[in-house]
Amino acid sequence: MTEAIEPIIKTRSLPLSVEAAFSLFTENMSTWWPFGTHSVGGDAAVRVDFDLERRQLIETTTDGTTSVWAQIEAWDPPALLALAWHPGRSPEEASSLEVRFEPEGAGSRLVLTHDGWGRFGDDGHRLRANYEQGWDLVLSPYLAAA
Amino acid sequence: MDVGTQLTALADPTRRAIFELLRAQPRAVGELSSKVPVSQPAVSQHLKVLREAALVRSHPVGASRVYEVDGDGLLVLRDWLDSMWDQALDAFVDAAHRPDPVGETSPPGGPSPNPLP
Repeated sequence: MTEAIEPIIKTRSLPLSVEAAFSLFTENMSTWWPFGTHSVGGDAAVRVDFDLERRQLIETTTDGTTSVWAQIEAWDPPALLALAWHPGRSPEEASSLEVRFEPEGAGSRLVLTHDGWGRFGDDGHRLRANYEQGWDLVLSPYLAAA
Repeated sequence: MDVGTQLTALADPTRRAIFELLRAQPRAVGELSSKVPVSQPAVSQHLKVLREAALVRSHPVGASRVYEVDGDGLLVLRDWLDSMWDQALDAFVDAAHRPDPVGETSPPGGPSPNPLP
């Protein structure tokens, strides 16, 4: 097969505790995320916030326009953040993104895993199950008429 | 090949399903058609889009064609995502090295139940 299809894995060492690292990544994302090159709103994007009630990661621009980057699938501070990642696209096109924080020496380590072409783990099974359900919906009128 | 073409190819849910099936293993058109809720001509059309986006490739086996993921073509999208995350994470690491990274001495910026206006 090919390694190109494997999830992308990125690791970074941090001079922070896992708690501070999780907090900086999530609650303080607006203070570091490179909006100019990595956003829906481009230069107009100024904030991105985790909305824990809606379970979404939401970008806000200077004129108040919002767009959803991701659905929150797991929020387990300080160790794990899992998102269905779909900036600029619909939730149905989301790919699986997981960010873990682990103690490392006097600080911590971030491990990011992005399956850019689909949904890994249970979400992959859910994606396939949706297609089986779709097939049932197509078949059922024929079965009823039989 | 550009990333936009590849992302557009993967945007359609049936094409994503076909791509996921090929990701697991190479498959003939007939097998793919039996696993997705669209007609075989529709499957062939989706495969054409995926092939033109350099996400899948095929080779003949007898009277059929067997499709598989195109690892070389997929590198376009992968390199773009890889670079995107490098840039974002480098910015995160820079922030982690600031004197007051989580703003404990700055105005509050904690998690908000609703997005800011």
